Order: sequence, then structure tokens, then C-alpha cells
Amino acid sequence: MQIEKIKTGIDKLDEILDGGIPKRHTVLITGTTGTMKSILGFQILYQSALEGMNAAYITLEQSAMSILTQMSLMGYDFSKITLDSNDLRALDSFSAKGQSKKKALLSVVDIGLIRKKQGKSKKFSWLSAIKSKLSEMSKKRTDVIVLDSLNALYHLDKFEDARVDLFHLFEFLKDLGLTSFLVNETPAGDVRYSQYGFEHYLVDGVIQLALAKRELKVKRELNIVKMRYADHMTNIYVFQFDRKQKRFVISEKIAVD
Amino acid sequence: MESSASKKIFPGEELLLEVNLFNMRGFGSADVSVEYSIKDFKGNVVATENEILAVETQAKFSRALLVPSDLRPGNYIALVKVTYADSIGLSSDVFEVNAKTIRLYSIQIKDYGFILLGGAVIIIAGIIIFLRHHFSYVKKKMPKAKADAIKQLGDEKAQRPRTAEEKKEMLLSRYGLEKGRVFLVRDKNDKTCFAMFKDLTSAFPGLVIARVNPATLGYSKDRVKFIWLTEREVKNCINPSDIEDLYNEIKKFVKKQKEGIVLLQGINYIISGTNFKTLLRTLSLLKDEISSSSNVIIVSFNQNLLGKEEAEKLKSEFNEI
Repeated sequence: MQIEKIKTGIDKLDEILDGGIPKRHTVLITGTTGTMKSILGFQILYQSALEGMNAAYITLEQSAMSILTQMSLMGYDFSKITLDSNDLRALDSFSAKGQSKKKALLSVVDIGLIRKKQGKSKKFSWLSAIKSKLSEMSKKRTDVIVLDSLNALYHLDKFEDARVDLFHLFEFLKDLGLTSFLVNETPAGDVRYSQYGFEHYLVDGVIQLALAKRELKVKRELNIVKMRYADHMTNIYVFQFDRKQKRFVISEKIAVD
Repeated sequence: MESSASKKIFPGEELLLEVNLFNMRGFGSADVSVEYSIKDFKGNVVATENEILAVETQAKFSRALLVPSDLRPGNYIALVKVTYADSIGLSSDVFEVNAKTIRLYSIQIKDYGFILLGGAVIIIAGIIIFLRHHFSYVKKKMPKAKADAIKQLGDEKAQRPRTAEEKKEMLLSRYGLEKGRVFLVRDKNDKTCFAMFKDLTSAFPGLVIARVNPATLGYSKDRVKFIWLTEREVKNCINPSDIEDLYNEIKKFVKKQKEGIVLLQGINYIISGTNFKTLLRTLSLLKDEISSSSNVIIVSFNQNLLGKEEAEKLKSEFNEI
């Protein structure tokens, strides 16, 4: 049986993942602060867009402007894709002039802006807003999304029964045919993969990012904790962003802790 | 040691000595300590002088040692003592100090001739003793491979390589190196490894990763790639904590070069940025990496800066030359 996969665009990571991430998987990208979770998520979306898929970055924390500024500084070339956003100011700042509509779409959806438009008086469900937006987008075909972050969603919306609510959310994403990446931040020193400690049971894959202190500096590390339908490698890798070449570099960890 | 009864000198005159030294290490400068002295037969030192000399390959020089004006007539011993590291070379001769009352101009001139002749005898004997002593020291103290390398230098002079391939083989053989392997070089001040690397890169492309700024070492930029181990963020540098970067640089080099020489100097600095286990693992991975290639990795280490157990672990995993 042939499993369709999406590429991350990071050579070594695709190799580690046995060719990429199976389509329609729900994957947790988890790690402490400063481990490049959001950037890794954006990288996968950007690569998907380059390969002709429609991608969406759903943000509950950073504004669209902030995300696009950061990604632009990291060297992402928005002229190679069609950029879209519900933040028109950000869109105007970063869209390439005369961009071809034939190119695949990368949308940055700022849920905070939707909340603002609703007004303060109305009761607002962030989870419903996300679902509503994704349903709307999937009608025009959306293939890959990043939700940044689960922590913000937990904070902004009250979950009656987190396990049940999350199960339904993940099923909803699958029903839309989406390959989803859920960004989750763990506190430093917390050995759990996520806030409730059961999210990793519900998802298909977990990519864990971490900071490892060495004598003279701190290094970022990556390992694939699980990835269903993939014969992935389980080693720990050093995960770096090469500022000169503007690309991710992953190499096998050699240092012995 | 030979002596001559006709060697005579008067108190207050200068005893002329001529010394010829050879540096049998074959490369680099050797600082030797030379002591000139006059002793009586009871062992009392009546005159002495010292100096430090740098001997590249050979040093020939004359020294005048003043005979005290109040020295009593009789027979005395002129001594030249050469000290290098733990090795000592001694040369001596007997000469006679005459009473001033019998000094005549014609005799003085004649005696200077004899003194010079005596000095020459001392020199020749000094050379023989120094060379024999030093050569036996080299053979005794140096690892076999190094001693063989020195011996081979002589052989190579007789048989110069004709092709680039022959030169490569000759250079590897000179230092007891084999392709596809990692070697340790015990080096207190890193002079040996840098000299060896310079010699090797006259025929091979090289990569030097060093604690000292490699640009200051004077290697050919055409043949040698430099990487500086430093915490500074400058071009062609690696932080000692970035062991993966260091490993990848070496891996990249050995993959690119069919036959290359890698010199890794500054392992204690790498340990300070990581730990010994990390260094050992890195070198072991590199050992496997180059085992099927024709590259050579040379790792310089100072045993005094490593713990005994750590040094033993390194030596059990890698060959020492």
C-alpha cells in the first residue's frame, strides 16, 4: 500500500521521516520556548505551497504581520507562492507585486482579528471560529494547516472535557482531509509532550523539539517520537537554522550528555 | 678524548675552543645549553662560562675562555658540556699552564698554534660524543615510528621520489601513516604535528582544525583548508561545543578528497566545550567514516593535559605514532 506523503522541504528531516509526513495525519509539534516550533510549522506549509498544495497558518497568538515579518527575515521568498491573509495590511506588506494566482496559496489566518470583528459584547468561541474558518477554506481546497498554538486555544476557550473536545477537533480536521500540525509549547523541565498529557495519544505523530545546554552554548534538538504509517528514525538530531544559507540543517547528534 | 702534552698556555691568556654541533632531530630548531669550564685535577672549577644556542641543523663556532691570571702552573682540564632535553654531551682535554716567568714571545705564538690544534681535537671529539649520545637518546626515547621516520630521511635522500604518487607514499611512510586510519601524535607543544602536517601537505590536500588561528601557521591556502576552533564568530571557525559541525566539516572534506590529510589540534579545547566521551565518540565515528577511504586523520594530543584513563582510552582506540 502506497502512503501519500508531504515533504517538509528539509532534506534530512524527510529522510528521518521515511520520505515525509503521511497525508491527513494530525501531528503535534511540541517543545519548550525558543525551539523553532512555529518556524518548522511554517516551513512545512511553505514547502507544501511550493509543491502546489494550499496551506494555511492559523494563528491564535502572533499577529499575521508579526509572523510574516519573522518569516521574511528568515529568508522565505513570498514571490514563489501566492500569499493570502485576513490581515490586509500584512498582505499588502508582503505580497509580491503581480503575483500569479496560479501558484498555490499560503494563507495566514489571524483568529484574533476575527474575534475583534465580533466585538467585545458577543460570546465568542475560539474553537468554533477556527472550525468555521477551516470549513470555509476547505471548500476552496486546503491541504495542510498549522494551528499555533494548542496552549493559546486552551487558554482562550473553556474545554468541558478536554480529551473529548480534542478528540472531536482532531476528527474534524481529518474529516476535512487536512494534514494538520498542532503547535504545543511545554514548560522547561516538563517531561510531558503536551499540556494535558494525553494529546500524544490522540494524534498520529509527535515531533519533539528541545534545547540542550552544552558547556559553551545551547543547541536545538529534534526527534520523532511517533509517526504512524512511517518507518521513521528515532535518533536525536541537532536542528539548526543556517543564517547564511537561510535553511534548516539537521545532523545526527554526536555529543554525549 | 685525546690530549696533548704540548698544549701550553700562560695565566691571563685566552684558551681558544672551537665547537661544532649537529641537530639530529632532522627538523626544527633545538635550544642547547653549552657550558665551558676549566677544572683542576681535584675537580675544582677555576673558570666557567655558559650560553644557550639554537641549533637548526649544525652550529660551528669558536669560544675564548680566559685563563685566570693567578692560576698556578700545572695541568688542567678544559671541559665542554652540551645539554639538550635529558641528553648530555661532554668533551674534555688536558692542557698545561706554564709559569709566567718562562713566557717568551716566540713560544707564545707557537703555543697558540698548539692550543688551536687542541681546540680542534676537542671539537671533533665533542661532535662525536654529542652525536652518539643524542642519536642513542633519539632511538631510546622516540616512538619507533618517529625514529624510523628520522632514519628514513637519510634513506630518502638517496632515493628521491620521481612521481607525485611516489612522493605521497614516501611521506606516509616517513611518519608511519596508513591510508584510511586515524592516528594520534603525542605532542607537548604542537610543533611536531604542525611540522608533520606541513610536510604532508606538500603532496596531499589538507584540512587543519586547530585551536591556534591556522592562518598564522603559514600553510599554503591552495592546498590547505583552515578551520579555527574558537568561540568567536568569524569566518571558517567552529565553536568547540558545535561538535556536530566539526564532524560534518571533516566528513565533507574526506568525502570530497580522494586522498587528504586532516589535522585536528586542540582536543582539550573541544573537551572543554563538550566532554571527553563526546570527543571519543566523534573520533570513533570518524575512524569508521574514513576506514574505506584513502584519507588520514592526525589527532594531536598532550598526555599531560589528559587524565591517565582518558589517554589510555584514546590509545586503545587509535594508533599512536
